[in-house]
Formats: sequence, C-alpha cells, structure tokens
Amino acid sequence: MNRKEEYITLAHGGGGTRSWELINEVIIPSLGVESIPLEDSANLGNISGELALTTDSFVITPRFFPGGDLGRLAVIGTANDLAVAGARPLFLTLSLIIEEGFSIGELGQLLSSAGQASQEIGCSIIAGDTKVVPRGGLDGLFFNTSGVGEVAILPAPSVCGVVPGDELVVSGDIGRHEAAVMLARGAFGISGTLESDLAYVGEGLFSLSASGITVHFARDLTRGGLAMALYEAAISSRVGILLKEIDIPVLPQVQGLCSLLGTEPWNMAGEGTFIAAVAGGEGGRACDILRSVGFMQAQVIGVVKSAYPGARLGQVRMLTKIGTERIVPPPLGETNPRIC
Amino acid sequence: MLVNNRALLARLKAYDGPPARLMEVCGTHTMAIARYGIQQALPERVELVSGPGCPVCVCEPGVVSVAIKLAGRPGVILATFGDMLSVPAGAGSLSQTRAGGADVRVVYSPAQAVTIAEQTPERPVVFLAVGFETTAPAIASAVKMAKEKRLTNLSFLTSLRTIPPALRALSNDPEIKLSGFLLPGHVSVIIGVKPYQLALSDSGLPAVVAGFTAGDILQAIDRLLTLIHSRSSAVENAYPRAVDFMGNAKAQQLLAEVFVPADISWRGLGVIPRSGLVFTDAYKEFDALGKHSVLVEDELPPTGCRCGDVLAGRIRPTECALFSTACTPQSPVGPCMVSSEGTCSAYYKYGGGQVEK
Repeated sequence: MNRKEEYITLAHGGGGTRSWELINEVIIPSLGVESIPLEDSANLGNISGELALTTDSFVITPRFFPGGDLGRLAVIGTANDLAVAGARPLFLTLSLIIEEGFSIGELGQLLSSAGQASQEIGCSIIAGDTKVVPRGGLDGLFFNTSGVGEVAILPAPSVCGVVPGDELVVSGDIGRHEAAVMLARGAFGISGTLESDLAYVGEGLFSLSASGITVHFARDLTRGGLAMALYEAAISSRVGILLKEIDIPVLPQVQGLCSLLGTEPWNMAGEGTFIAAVAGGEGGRACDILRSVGFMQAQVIGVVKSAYPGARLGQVRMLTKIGTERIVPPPLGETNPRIC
Repeated sequence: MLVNNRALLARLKAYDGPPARLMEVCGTHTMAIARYGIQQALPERVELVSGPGCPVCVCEPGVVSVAIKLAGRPGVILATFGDMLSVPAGAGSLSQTRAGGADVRVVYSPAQAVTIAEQTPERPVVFLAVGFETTAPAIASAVKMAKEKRLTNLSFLTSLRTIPPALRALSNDPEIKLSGFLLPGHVSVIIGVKPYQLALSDSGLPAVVAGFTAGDILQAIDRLLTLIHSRSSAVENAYPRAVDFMGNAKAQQLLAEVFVPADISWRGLGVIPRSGLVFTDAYKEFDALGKHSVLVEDELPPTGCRCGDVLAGRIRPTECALFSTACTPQSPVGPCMVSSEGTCSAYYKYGGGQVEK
C-alpha cells in the first residue's frame, strides 16, 4: 500500500483494489493470521460434538484503556461469552466498521492486539468484513466479533439451571473494567491507576469442570454487572438468591468511585470476572481450584434459596455488613455508555 | 465493622426507653440507612423517618419552570447539577428541553459555569444553583469569581436553603411528632453545632450530628436514644473527626458576604422564615431573576404526588398511591423519586418497589 496513505478513505470500503490492499497489507498481517486465498465463506471442516454460537459488538471510548484496548476486548468479550456457556472457542469472525479518516496506524495496532488475544486463547479468526462510513457516520471504529465454540462442559451451564442449595462463586473482584474506563476518560476531573480486569475466563471454568465441580450456571459480569447476572438466573430458574456483602471482593478504588457516583459495585461491569452457581458444598473447593489457575480473589459470595414468595423485584437479597437483610434491586441500565 | 459493632447492635436492639421517632434531614443519610437496612437493626419502638434532606426535592417547581423558560431563550446556555435534569415541573423537565434542542449542560461544580461563561462571552449563561449549606459556599465562591473576572454574561438562578430554620419548623409541628434529629454531617462541617442549639431551643428536642458509615449512624442513633431516654434536650456531635463545634469560619464568612437570609418556600413545609439565601446588594447583579426579568410562580404539585408529605415525614413513600406504580425511577412523577438522594428513590432502590408494612 502507498505509504502516504495514512488514513482510511471511503475507497478502502469500496470493494476495489483499495479494499484488497487494506485487507492484504494491513488487516491480515496485523492480525497475524495465515494468508490464504480469500473465499466468500470460511470452511470450518468437520466438528463433532455440540456447538455454541455467539456475537457481540464493541464500541468502547477510549479505544485504548489501562489493561487493554478495543481489539483485545472484541476477541476476549466474545470468547468469554462462549466460555460461560461451557464452550471452548474455536473460530471467530471479525468485522470492522470504520469512519472515513481513521488512522491506519491505529487500526493496525488494534488488529494486532486482537490477533494476539486470539492466539493466547487458541481460537482462529477465519472470516471478516470491512465497511467504511463517511466522516461523522460513527465515532472512529466499531468492531463486531462472532464466535463458534465446542461445548466442553456437559450438561452446559444454563441460566435456567440454578437450584436451591447451589453456592455462588465469583472469580474475582467486581466492577473493575467499568471503573477503569471511567477513570481513563477523566470523568468528574478525577484520575487513577486502576486497570481493567479484561481477561479470558475459559481456563477457570474448564478447570472447574475438569475437577468434577458441577457448574449449573455461569455468566461473565459485563454490562449490568453482578446484580443483573443474578437477576437473570433468579428469574429464569425461579429461585431466590442471598448474597453476603462482606464476602464480595471489591477494590477500594472501585468502591470509592461507586460512592461518588451513588451506584454500587454490583451494578458495574467487568470484562474478566464471572459468577458461577456450583452444586451445594462444592463452593470452597471451586474457589481453591480457581485460585490455583490464577483467579486469586475467587470467593463464595452467596447461596441459592427457594424463590422469595410474592417478591417481584426482590429475588436477589443481601446480608449487609451490619447483618441486616435487604433487597438488591436490578440495575436500571443507566450506567455509562460506550464501555464495551 | 461486623465485629466492632456487635455490642452496639445488641444494645440498640435492647433499647427499652420511650417510643422514639427519629428524623434525619440529609439525602446521604437516607441512602445509607436504606442501603444498610438500619431500620431492621432497631427495635420496633424506634422509628426512622426521612425529612427534607434532599435539596432537589424541596426545591419549588416554579424555579425549574423558570430555568426551562430561560433555557428556551435564543443563545442561552443553562448549566446545572445532573440531578436537576429530570425534575418534573409545570413547564416539563430540563432533559425534555435539552432533547428539544436547548443548550442545557450538566456540571459537577459551580466553578465550571464560570469557565463556560468565560469561553462563550457572547452568550448568556445561567447557572441553576440548588442546594443547602453544603453547596452554597461553592456557589458563593463562583459568584465572587464571576465578579472578579467582571463577567457580565453569567447569572445564577438560586434556590438555596439552610437547615436549622427547617428543623425549628419541623420540631414545632405537632402533627409530625418527632422525638429527636440525626443531624447532617456535611452541613455541620460548614455551620458547626451552635445553630442547631438555637433552632431547637424552643422545642427542646435532642439531636446528634452523624457521619455516614453504618457505624457512624448506629453510634449517633445510640447517643440520641440515650438523650431521649434521659429526657435531655442536648445537641451532641457524634462526628467529631469532621465536624467542629464552630464549623468552618471561612465558608461562613463567604456565605455572609454573598448571601443574606430570606423567607423561602419548601416543598411540603411551606414558607419557612429566613430559611433561604438570596444575594446581598453587592452581588445582586448576578441574580438571574433580575437580570432576565423573570418571576418564580407558585405551582401545584402533579396530581396524586405526595412528595410534600414524604419530605415532611408525614408519610412513608410506600403510603403514596403512586409509589412504584405510576412513579418509578424510570418515569418519576415527583422529585423524591428523581434525585439519587430522594427518599422515594432510596425506598425503591433498596426495597425493590415492594410495599412494606
């Protein structure tokens, strides 16, 4: 590609030679994927066993944040969605929607982060698409990834699979990604050194099942945070949930930011932390296993009970630090835009 | 905390003095009490009620309507705190006005309004300033800054109130039947303890300044119950790590320079003598009402809304027919459901919108 071309133009999305150059001279080398003749579809070959499919779009501001960037997030976010459904990520697609005038250098940087993350996880990026929209049509760059995985935990964890007596295990401290992104934006004139928890969670889940732990439900704690994940489980499985506030791992910086904003850490998003409902009595051992594979803050934070009678919004409750019991309301979804 | 407070919790649970109705008058206390489920830690004979502790909630709706009117004028930039955006008034809400194209900006500090006015000298900037003694010094400081910088395009639409006159009114209201007050820690940092002694001298109600952790609040309740039990009318400070008896002299001086007390209407409590703050003659040029020739008119609350009764401690949010049915944080009818410090919002947030008895 002509070295003088440092910015994306509409021609790069036009399907002609400019598109071809962008794909072959920027996208494929940055991703570090094998350069093969490009067909209109990738052939996945023969796969035995149950498959899982998911898709997600990524629109974070800023695109580079402490602990990661848009490229890494786009790969890990989708891989985590597969992992919490019990599936090992095999293949990803990666689609780009780029604003005219976007820096090709930055695009290359984000793509090489995406490529590196996919190699760490052990899944291949096998298809993609590029569109360019006129300046002002979007803010910079949006990514979309879809992922296919092979279900490795059977029966697969399900939002409907939680039963009374289950113990709730969180893999690490909560709310860190959202807090880090907000601090990186310099919101409210405050800054900090907090890093996002962005990380692939698959090894945690697969080591639980490999050690014979029965995982009834798992969810990565992205938008809506812990509270929303638990509400979805409580409502779909028709159970009640009782958390113990004092056992929920939260970094002091995250707690401080929440106090400032009048919100709670359990409404804040992470990108490398999951909640799992494991069979009663297996919580302690599950934490030991998780700690042994790097989830050092893993903790049993609550138990599953029969549904609380007559409570519309009160199925998730919490024993407070002073020992009183109160409702944890589902988040209203009014937290910060453009965090993932 | 769990361990340190165990003895305190046990003592509170065992309280066998006269039945007590304790009022807090601070939005942060409202939220903390709901968040920690503090009412549940108390025996049945001790009842916690919320008073007019949320500045957004007690603000008269007519002021919001004036803000909306000014925001709609050509070229005007209206700046305010985020909580004010969704407050419903006769003329709608500021967020609706913003959606309709008006330039309404959320700021985190009054000084930001000064910056906006400096950056846009050709446009009138109005700062809608709502608050108690906690925010008033920052507003006074912004007004002084504007004067020093000779800004002629910035004015302040104020709805500022002081807590002690409201306590006097509440303590003398036979219908509300209070036994004592938990006093607001943040306000007390500014004004100290003395103004409460003066305000409560005729009713003789005891009061204790409280901090904001669960332990702070439990401790203040414990001290207040002790005072009630011994029929004392003392005002005590249970938050000495932040609150000095005389308060913050510098902030008080700033307030006295820029503002004078005036009668003002509180939602739910009516007009309370000398409970508002308006500009002194030296700073009158910054009063948005005079500068833009507008008047604050009396407005009736929305039909069925009982925010006024909630703010005066006459009813609990759950006794309002609109609570969690027609009025929710997603579509609030009254200000107590809007503000993050509002009593209805605290009940909804930590009570799940269920009707508790």
